Amino acid sequence: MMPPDAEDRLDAAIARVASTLSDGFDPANDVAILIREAVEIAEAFGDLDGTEKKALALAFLGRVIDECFDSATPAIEKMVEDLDLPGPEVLERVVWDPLLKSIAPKLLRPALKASLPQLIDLVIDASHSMLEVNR
Amino acid sequence: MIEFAPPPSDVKIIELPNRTAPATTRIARPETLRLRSRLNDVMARLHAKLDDLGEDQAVADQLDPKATRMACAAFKLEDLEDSDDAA
Repeated sequence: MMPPDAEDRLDAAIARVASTLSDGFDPANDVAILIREAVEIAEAFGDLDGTEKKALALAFLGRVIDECFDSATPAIEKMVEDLDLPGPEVLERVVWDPLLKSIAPKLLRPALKASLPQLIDLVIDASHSMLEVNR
Repeated sequence: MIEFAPPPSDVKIIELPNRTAPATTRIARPETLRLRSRLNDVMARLHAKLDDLGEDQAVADQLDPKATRMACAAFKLEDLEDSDDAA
């Protein structure tokens, strides 16, 4: 059973995710927002215990990343182009950039997904004031 | 050569499971099914929201100042008014 305000909470969180993804998926800028909203979405389901909420948040993030990762191509290619790679610029343009553009998504996607459980734990710890950070 | 006698008719022959048979299908736990259903619900809502935003984006593109300038360059309001009169 969902708490009375849970439906609105869920709807608002999903709207924020949709708004974040509406212009494509930018791994560098969007992941933190998606993690926050995934936890919010899982929290809306009051009948789930902590383990189930974490599993739901992770499954949601995994599904979103899988579905949206193709739209991350321009952002990843921009990251590659901004790198200062060894050798003269012509080598960078002709060899490194095309090579990295084809490899980077294959590296980035599993790396991103592998980091999610720890990042969710971090968000939960922060929300429970379990981090001591001097501002 | 030793010959085995056929089993007596009252002996129940136990058939051993075939080890080469494919593994049985995993049965999802009720908790897993519940979570999967929630996830599918959330994803369906997200897809619906993205579709709505897609329509909004199309409207926003029409209201884009650059598109307005292009429309102004392509058509003169007076011309359109005249064509209405002609119709």
